[in-house]
Amino acid sequence: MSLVPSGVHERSPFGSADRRGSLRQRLRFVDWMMLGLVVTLVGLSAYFASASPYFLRVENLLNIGAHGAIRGIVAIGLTIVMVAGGLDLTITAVMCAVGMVTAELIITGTPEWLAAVIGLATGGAMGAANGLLVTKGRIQPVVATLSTMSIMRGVAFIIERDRARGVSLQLDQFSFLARDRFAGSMPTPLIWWLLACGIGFFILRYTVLGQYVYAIGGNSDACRVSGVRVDLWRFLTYVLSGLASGFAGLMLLSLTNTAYSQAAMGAELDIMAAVILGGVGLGGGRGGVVGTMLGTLILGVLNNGMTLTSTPLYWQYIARGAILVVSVGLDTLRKGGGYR
Amino acid sequence: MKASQSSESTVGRLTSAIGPAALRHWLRFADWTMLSLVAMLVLMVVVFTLASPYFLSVRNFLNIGNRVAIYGIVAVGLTIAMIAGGLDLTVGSVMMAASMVSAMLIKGGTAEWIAAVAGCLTGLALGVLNGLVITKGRINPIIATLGTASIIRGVGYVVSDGQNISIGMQRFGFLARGKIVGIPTAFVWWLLACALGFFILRYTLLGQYFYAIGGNPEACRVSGVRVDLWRFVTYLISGVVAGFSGVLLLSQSALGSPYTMAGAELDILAGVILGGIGLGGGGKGGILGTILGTVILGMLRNGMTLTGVPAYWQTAVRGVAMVIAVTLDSLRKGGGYR
Repeated sequence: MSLVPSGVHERSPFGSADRRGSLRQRLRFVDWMMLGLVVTLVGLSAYFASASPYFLRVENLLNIGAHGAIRGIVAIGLTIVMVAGGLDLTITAVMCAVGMVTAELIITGTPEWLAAVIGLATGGAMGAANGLLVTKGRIQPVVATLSTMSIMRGVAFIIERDRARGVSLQLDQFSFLARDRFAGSMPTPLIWWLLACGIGFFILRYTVLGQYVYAIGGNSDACRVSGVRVDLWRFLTYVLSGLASGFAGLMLLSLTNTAYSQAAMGAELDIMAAVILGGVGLGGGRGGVVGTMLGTLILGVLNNGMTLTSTPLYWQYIARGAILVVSVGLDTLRKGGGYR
Repeated sequence: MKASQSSESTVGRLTSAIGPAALRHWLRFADWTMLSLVAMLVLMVVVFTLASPYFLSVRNFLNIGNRVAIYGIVAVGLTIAMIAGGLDLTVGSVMMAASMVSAMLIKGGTAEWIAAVAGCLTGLALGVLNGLVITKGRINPIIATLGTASIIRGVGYVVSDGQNISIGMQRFGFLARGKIVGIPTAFVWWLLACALGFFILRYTLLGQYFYAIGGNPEACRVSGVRVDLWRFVTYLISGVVAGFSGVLLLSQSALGSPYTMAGAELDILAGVILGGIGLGGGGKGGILGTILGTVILGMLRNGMTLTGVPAYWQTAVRGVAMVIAVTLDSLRKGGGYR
């Protein structure tokens, strides 16, 4: 119990009733977390813009978006799971397994669209497996997904077998999902990311699922007593996360043309960092898609800017860790509480 | 304080279980987690012995012990942190940092034992960092150590510029490369660490506090236990232990690498969790479970290799074994997570 602070309702998911009121009243309802993220993003961008003439070019900004897209889509799924108070460590393993399944199907002659659909279904099924373990097996999400992570990564290993360089597609295969450009210049991954954010935002803000997700993350016991089918909604969040990761896996395959059994290994911690940076607490019940988007963008700008200013790659690890600790620390200090 | 009825009572009741009444009593209070782990271990030994003529030999068992020793030592520190309700995801990075510091000192001509001590002190210092961030910054341990792990790993890359530091096979072998009366030295260190951890958790005031804090920090706070202080201490212990393991790793491999042990946290954590320590709960479990969990995962790997299971099947099999183990444990207890 003590690892996870009891859910704090930072912000009502149902929209604020106090839209009007005196300045002081309104200041009280300003979302400081979101403001801090925007300031961080603007500050970082200003710094990198002054340090490198290439940073502010449209081509580079699109580049940041395209690179952040795959992680960003996975992060949306993870956000929904974490707002409901869960956790999914299998995200990158699912990405990898889905890419592998799809690639194998395409090489053996399945039509590309059918392979993609089967791959996506695999992602959903893997999410469902996680959901069942957590809701029926009553296993802590961290423990459950840490265990299934090996199975999903294992599926990729088994399909890959002895092909040391992964499963490669022909150069002209499966490019429609992420490699081709949209309307001439827009990178397709960026479009998918925006779409995923839109869907995630809509689900969390305007659907029953979204309302329940916040409520369950805030106080699952209260929900259970009031007749909310907690297990059902929790299960659905894991399926959504599996689908999002699966789609990201398809994009990765389309972008790189290769499915590789070690793909994105360890990136689940990076993605989790972006989500947490965006204001989703481990306890659930707070945060949202906009915060996650900002968190993903901040880490993306950091990576891109450091590369442009020829900062040694290794500094990124330090910067990422420091940003995570400082931002979460500031947030807890401001709330005057946190982990006890 | 649920731990007071763990395996100690199991052993005690096993010996006194003579009559049917005693047997029934024992069955009710038996430590099922521990029993199922032992059953799993025995089953594995039987299956692998039937499948491979090389499995059941002193030499192979010492080999398994030597392989899992370093992970096993780290797991002892992690166990203590988790019993007190915390988590330390920096262990892999701390091992890397300690081995790098020792390697650099040895390369620079420092006496080997001083370098070893410096490695452990590095671990201690990083433990202080984690403890401060968590108890003073009031940041959830998962987030805090996720952040500091990234920082530590990054500093390792920057300082070494991504280069390995080789100290040569002639030096620094005394800690973990040799054998003591035929037993690999690393294995001996592991046994020592386990004994020490067992002693601390079972027979000292410190151990009592760890269980109490993990069980209910709020109750401890109102009864005047200095929760933050003792929590801080668990991260010190975890840091020192990881630092020492890093030094052992250097002694075994003669190579300090900034890439070493990246992602090993999750493997070590898997052993601890298999041993019966859940996340978020704390307050229960113990060293014996961690030893069993670590050995089971190590033996599974060894047995699969000996019986010729293709390498690409092993990850999935390990995952299936873990899912079965944690599911059974959860179902038996009537489900922990709600």
